[in-house]
Amino acid sequence: MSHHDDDLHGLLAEYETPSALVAACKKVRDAGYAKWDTFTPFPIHGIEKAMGIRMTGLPWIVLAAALVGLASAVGLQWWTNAVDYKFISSGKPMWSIPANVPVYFELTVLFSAFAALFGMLILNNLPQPSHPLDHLQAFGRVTDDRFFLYIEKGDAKFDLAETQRLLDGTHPVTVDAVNEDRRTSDQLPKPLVLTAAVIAVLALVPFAFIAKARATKTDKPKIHAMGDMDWQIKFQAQQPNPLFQDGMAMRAPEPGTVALDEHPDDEHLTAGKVDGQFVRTFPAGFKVDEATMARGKERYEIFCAPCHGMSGNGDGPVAQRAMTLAEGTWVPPTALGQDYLRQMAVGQLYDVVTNGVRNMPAYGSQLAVDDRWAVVLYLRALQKAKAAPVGELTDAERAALK
Amino acid sequence: MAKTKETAKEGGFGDNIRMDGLATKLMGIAGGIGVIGLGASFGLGYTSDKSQFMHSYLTAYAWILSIGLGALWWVVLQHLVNAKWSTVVRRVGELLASTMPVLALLSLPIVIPALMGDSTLYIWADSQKMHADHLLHKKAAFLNRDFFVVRLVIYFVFWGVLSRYLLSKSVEQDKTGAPEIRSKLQGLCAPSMILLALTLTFAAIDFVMTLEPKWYSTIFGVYYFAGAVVSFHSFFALALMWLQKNGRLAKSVTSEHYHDIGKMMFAFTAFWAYIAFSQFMLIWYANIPEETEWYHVRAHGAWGTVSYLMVAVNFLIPFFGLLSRHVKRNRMALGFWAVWILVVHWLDMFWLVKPHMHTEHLPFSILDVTCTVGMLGLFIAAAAFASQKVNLVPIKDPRLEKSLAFENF
Repeated sequence: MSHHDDDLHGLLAEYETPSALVAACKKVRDAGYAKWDTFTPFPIHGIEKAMGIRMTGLPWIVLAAALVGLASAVGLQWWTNAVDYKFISSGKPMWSIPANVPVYFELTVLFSAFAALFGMLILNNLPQPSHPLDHLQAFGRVTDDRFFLYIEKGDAKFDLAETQRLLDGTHPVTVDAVNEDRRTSDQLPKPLVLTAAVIAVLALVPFAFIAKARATKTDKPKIHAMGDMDWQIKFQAQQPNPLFQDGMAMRAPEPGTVALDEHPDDEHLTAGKVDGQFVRTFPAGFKVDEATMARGKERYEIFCAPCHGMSGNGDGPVAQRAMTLAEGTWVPPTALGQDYLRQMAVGQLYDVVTNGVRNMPAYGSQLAVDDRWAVVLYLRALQKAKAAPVGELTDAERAALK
Repeated sequence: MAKTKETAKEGGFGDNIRMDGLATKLMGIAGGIGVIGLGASFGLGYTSDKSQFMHSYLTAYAWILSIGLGALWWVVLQHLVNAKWSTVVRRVGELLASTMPVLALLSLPIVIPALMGDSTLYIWADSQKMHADHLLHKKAAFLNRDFFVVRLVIYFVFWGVLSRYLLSKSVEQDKTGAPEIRSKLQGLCAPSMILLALTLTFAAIDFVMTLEPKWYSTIFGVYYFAGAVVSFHSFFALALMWLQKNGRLAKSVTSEHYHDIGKMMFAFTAFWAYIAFSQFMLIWYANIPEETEWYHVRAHGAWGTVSYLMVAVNFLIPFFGLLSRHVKRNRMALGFWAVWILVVHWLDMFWLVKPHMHTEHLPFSILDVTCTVGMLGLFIAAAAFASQKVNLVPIKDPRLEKSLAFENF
C-alpha cells in the first residue's frame, strides 16, 4: 500500500481470533508502546492485563465527588433551613440531622454517579465524533467477527518499518496503513449547531417567565398547576351539603357528647370564668411547677412565638416579614409585657388563647386545656421577667446586673 | 505437582476438596465448645437470674439464626440468578445452610417456656395479661401460643426441607453430572425466594419484635434480613479462609471470589444502614407515641450511647473500611472486617433484644458470652457434620469452569 508519510495516522492489524489478539497485545505492550488500542466485537477477559492497562484513578474521583456532594447537601440544607429562610414548622428545630439525611444521601449518590459517568468519558477521551478508522472498509467487521489492534503514528516509539515488522510478527490477517482523516470537517455539522442553539434559547424561556413574575405585579389569580389538588371534590366546612336534612356540610357532635379528658362542668378550668367573671387564679389542681413551665414555654414557642416573638415583644418572624413587605394592612402583634396585660385576669388570657381576639385566631382547637393554662403560666413568667421589682431579685442576680 | 489421594479419588480435580479427618476433628472441637458453652449457660441461668438467661439466650439465638438464614438466602439467590462466580464456593454455603435442624433445636429454650405460659420474654405467652389490655387483646388472635408454634413449625420445616433439598440435589449432580439439575433448581428457587422472604420476615417478628407487642414496624423483617446477609457473608469469608488455611480449596478459591464476597459485605453494610435509617426516620418524623416508644428507650441514657455507637461501628467505620477493592482482595484485611461485622451485628441483636430487659442500663453478662459461643460451636459442628461425605466443590456443575476462571474487572 502506497502513501505519503505526512498522511499516515497509524498501523492497523487485523486478527481472526481473540486469543491471537491477546497474544499480539502482549508483544506490543512489551515493546513499550503507549498510544495504541484494541477493538473487538465483545469484551475479552484478561485483555486489559495483556495490554498493560493500569488501574484507573476513577474511584478516587468518585470518592471526592461523593464527599463534595455530601458537603453540598449539608450546606444547602443548613443554609436554607437554619440561616436564609428560618421558618418554624410545628415546633420542629430549624436544623436537625435526621430530617435531612435523605437529601445527603441523594446528593452524595447524584454527585458520585455524575463523577463516575463523566469521569469515565473524560478519562477515555470520549466522546470522539470521528476517527480515521471510521473510513476503513475492512474495519466494519469489528462489530461482527474480527479483532483489531491499532498503533498510532503519534506514539514516541512509532517507526513505520519497525512497527510494521513488530505487527507482522504477531500473525495478523493483514496489516494496513491508515491515513489521516482529511474528509471529515473540523466544524460541527450545521444542523447540530442549529438544534443546540434552539434548545439553549428555549431553555431560557422558563427563566424569563420567572424573571418577569418577580419583576412585575399582577392582579390575576395564581396559576393552578395541580387542579385536582386545588379544587378537590369534597365538602368544605362552611359549604352547603344537600345530603343532610339541615343542608350543612359541617356536622355538630351529638348533644351531650363529651370528649376524652373534657370536664364540661368545671367552668373555671375549661372557660376561665366563674359566674361570667374572668378568674384571677389558676384552676384547682393545676400544678405550678418546673415541668408545667417547661411545657408552657415549649407550646408558647411553637404557637405564639411566630407572631409575638420569643420574648413576647411582638417581633416574631411573621411580624418581621410583614414589616419588611410593608403592605400597610398589617396589624402588628401585641407586645405582651404591657401594663394592661400584666393586670389582665389569667382567665381572660386563657380566653384569648382559646377563642382568639381581634386578628389573632383561636388556638382552642390546637392546644389542649392544660396546655393553654401552661401557656398562660409561661406568659406570666415572661411578663414578670420584663418588670421584676429590684426587691424581688436575689443578691446574686443584682450583682450580675451591676 | 504432588496430588493428594483425595484429588485422585475425585477424578483429579486438582485441589483438596474433601474434609475427611478434618470434619471429625472440627465436629469434636466445635461440638465440645458448643455443649460446654450451652451447658454453662443453662447452669448459670437456672441458678441465677432467669430473665438475664432468657434475654442473653435470645440475643445469641437471633444472631446465630441470622447467619444460618443468610446462608440459605445466599444459596437460593445463586441458583435463582444462575450465578457463575460463586459455583466453586457454593457447596460451603449449602453446608452452612444445612444447619437448620440444629437451629430449630436451639430455639426450644425460647419456645418451651413461652408454651408453658412464661412471660419473661413474651407477654403474649400469658393469656391473662393479654386480655387485660385492650390493645393486646385485639392482637391476641395472632399473638398466642398455639399459633406461635404453628408458625415456627412452618418456618423450620420449610427452611430445613429447602436447605436439605438444595444440598442433596447438588451432591447428586456430583455423581450423575446431570446438567438439568441446574435449571430445575433455578425454577425451584423462584417461589422459594418469595417464601423465604415471608418466613424470614415473620420469624424476625415472632422472635424479636413481639418482645414489645404494642410496637410495630413494617420494615422490621427487612432490617433483620439486612443484618443476616451482611453477617452471613462475613462468616462465609472466615469459613473459606479457615478451610484454605487447612489445605482445602487452597487453589480453587482466589482473591476474585473473596473480592465478590467483600462486595456483598460492603453493599449490605450500606443496605443495613439504609433500612435502619428508613425505619428510624419515618418513626421520628411521624412522632406517633406508640411507635416512638421503642426508639425513646433506645435514644436515652446508656442505650442512647449504644445507638450512636451503632451508627459508627455498624455503618460509618466498616463502610469506609470496606470501600477499597484492595481491602476486599486482601485476606487479612477482609478477615478483620468479617470479624468486626460479626461482632457489631451481635451488638445489633443485643440492641434489639436487651432494652426489653432493662431500659436504664446495659445488661451485659457472662451469659452473653457462653450462649453465643455455645451456639456458634453447635452451628459449626452441624455444618461439619454435613460436610463429612461430600465434596467441598460441586465438581460437575456446568458453571464450575467459569467460576474457577472468574475475574473481576
